[in-house]
Amino acid sequence: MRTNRETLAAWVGREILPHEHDLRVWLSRRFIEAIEVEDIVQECYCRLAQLRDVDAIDEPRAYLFTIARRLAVQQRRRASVVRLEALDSDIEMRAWDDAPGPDRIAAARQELGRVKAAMATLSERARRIFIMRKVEGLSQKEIAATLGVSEAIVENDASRSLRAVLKLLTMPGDEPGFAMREEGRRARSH
Amino acid sequence: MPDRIEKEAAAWALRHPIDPAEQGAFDAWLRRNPRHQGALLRSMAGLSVIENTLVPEAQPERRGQGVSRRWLLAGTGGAIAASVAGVLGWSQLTSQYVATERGEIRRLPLADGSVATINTASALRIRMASDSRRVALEEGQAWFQVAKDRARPFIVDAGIAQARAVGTAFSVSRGPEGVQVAVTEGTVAVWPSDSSGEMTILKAGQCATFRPNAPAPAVISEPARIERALAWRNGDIALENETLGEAIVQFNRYNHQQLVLADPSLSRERLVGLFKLDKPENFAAMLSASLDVETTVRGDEIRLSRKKSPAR
Repeated sequence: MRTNRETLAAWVGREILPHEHDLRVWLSRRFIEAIEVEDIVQECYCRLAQLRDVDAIDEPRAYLFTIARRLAVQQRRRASVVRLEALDSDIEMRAWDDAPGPDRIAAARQELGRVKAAMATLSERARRIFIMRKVEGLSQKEIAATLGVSEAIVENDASRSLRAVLKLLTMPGDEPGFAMREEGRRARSH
Repeated sequence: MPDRIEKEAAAWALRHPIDPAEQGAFDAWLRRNPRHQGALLRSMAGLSVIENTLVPEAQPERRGQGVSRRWLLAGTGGAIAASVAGVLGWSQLTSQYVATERGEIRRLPLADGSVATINTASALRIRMASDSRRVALEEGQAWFQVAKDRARPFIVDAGIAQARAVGTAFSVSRGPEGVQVAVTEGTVAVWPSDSSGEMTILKAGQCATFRPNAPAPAVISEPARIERALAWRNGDIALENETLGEAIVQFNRYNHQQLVLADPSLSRERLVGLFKLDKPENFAAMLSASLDVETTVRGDEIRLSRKKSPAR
C-alpha cells in the first residue's frame, strides 16, 4: 500500500521536479544570490509537503513559480539592502507559463535530455537496486542479501545515485544549448 | 541544499516504506528541522522519477499530455529488462523437457520447490541455473506457483513475451493469437521480447495480453474472471455466461471425444455452470436436459442439434 507521502512524492516527481531546473534559472536571473535560491527552492518543497490534495492544482508549474515568487518577495522585504532590480516580473512570469510556445517546447526537450543524461550515469548495480525495489518491493536488507553485498553498500550506492540524478535533473549546469540561449538573451537586452 | 540534510533525506527516502522499528527515529528526524520534510519530499520525488523511468507503471497517466509526461518517454524499461535478463546468463545445470497430451493436466513439482501445473497439449523446457530459473513455454499454458528465491528470478519465455517473478503465482499461455500472462498472487513483471518494449508490472488479479506486432500488452484487472479461466487446474471448466461455442472449443482441447454442433445457431446460447473437463458426455447430457438439445453419439463424436419441435 502506498502511503499519502508516497503518492504525493510520485506527483511531485511527475509535475514539479521537472521544473525545478527552470525555477532555479529563473530565480538566478532575478539576481537572487545562490544561497537564497537554495533557500527558496527548499522552502517550496516544504510548502508542497503540506499539500493534502493535489488534484486541485491544474498548472503545477505555474503553482511552483507562484510559491517561489512569493517567497522571493518576502525574502527581499526582509533584506536590509534594497536592490535596484525589483521583483516585479509579472511579465516574465507569464512568459514562463505560456504553453506550449517555442520556449516551452525547447524546455521540454531539455527536460527529457536531462532525464536521459542523468539515467545514463547510473551504474549497473544501482539500476538493479532500483529495479528490485520497484518490481519486487524488496527492502535494502533483502536487496543486499540478493546481491551478496552489505546493506551499507546498497544504501550508499542507492543514495549516491539518487543524489547524483537529482543534481543532474535540477541544477543549472553546463548545458551548451542552454548557455547559448542565455547569451542570446543577454545580447538582445543590451 | 545543505549536504547533510540532502544525504539524510535520501537515506530516509530509500528506507520507505519505513520499518515499524525505525518509525520513532524517522519521526524524530522529521521534527528536528522543518526543512527535513521538504528535503524528504524532494528525494522521494527523485526516487519515483528514477523508478518510473526504469520500470514504467502499467496504468495510464491521469489526464492531459503534460510536458512532464515526456519524462516517461525516456523510459528504457525494455532495454533494461533485456540487459537484466542478459546479465543473468543461461548456464545450464539441469534441463528438462515436458509435454502434455491432449486432455492431460499435469502437476509438475520443480527442483526449486516451485510447481508448474501444465494444461492440455502444452510443451515447456525448464532450466534451473544457479542464478536464474527459466522456463521456455513452447506452446499451450501452464500455471506457476513460484517458490521464493530472490537470488534466482523465475523467468518464463513465451516467444513474443517474457514474464519475471520472484515468489508469486501466475499463468502463461501461448497460442497463435498471442501470449497471455495472468497473475493470481503477488507481482510479476512482463515485457515484449522485442527489446523496444517497456516493462509492465502486473499485480494479482491482472492479466496482460501480448499480440504479435503490438508494442504494448492490453492489461485488464478482473480477478474473478482470471480465477474462472484457471478452473482447468482442478480438471474443471467454469462457465459464467460464456457461449456454448466457446465452451465446446474448451472441451475439445481436452478430449478425443469431440463435441460437434450440428446446428450452428446453438453456438450463441449462453451457459452458467461448473463441469468436469474430461466428461463431455455429462456436459452434453446437461445440455439436452436444459436447452432442448438432442445428442447423438457417433464414434468419437457427440453431435448436438436442436430438438425437432416437440409435439407436446
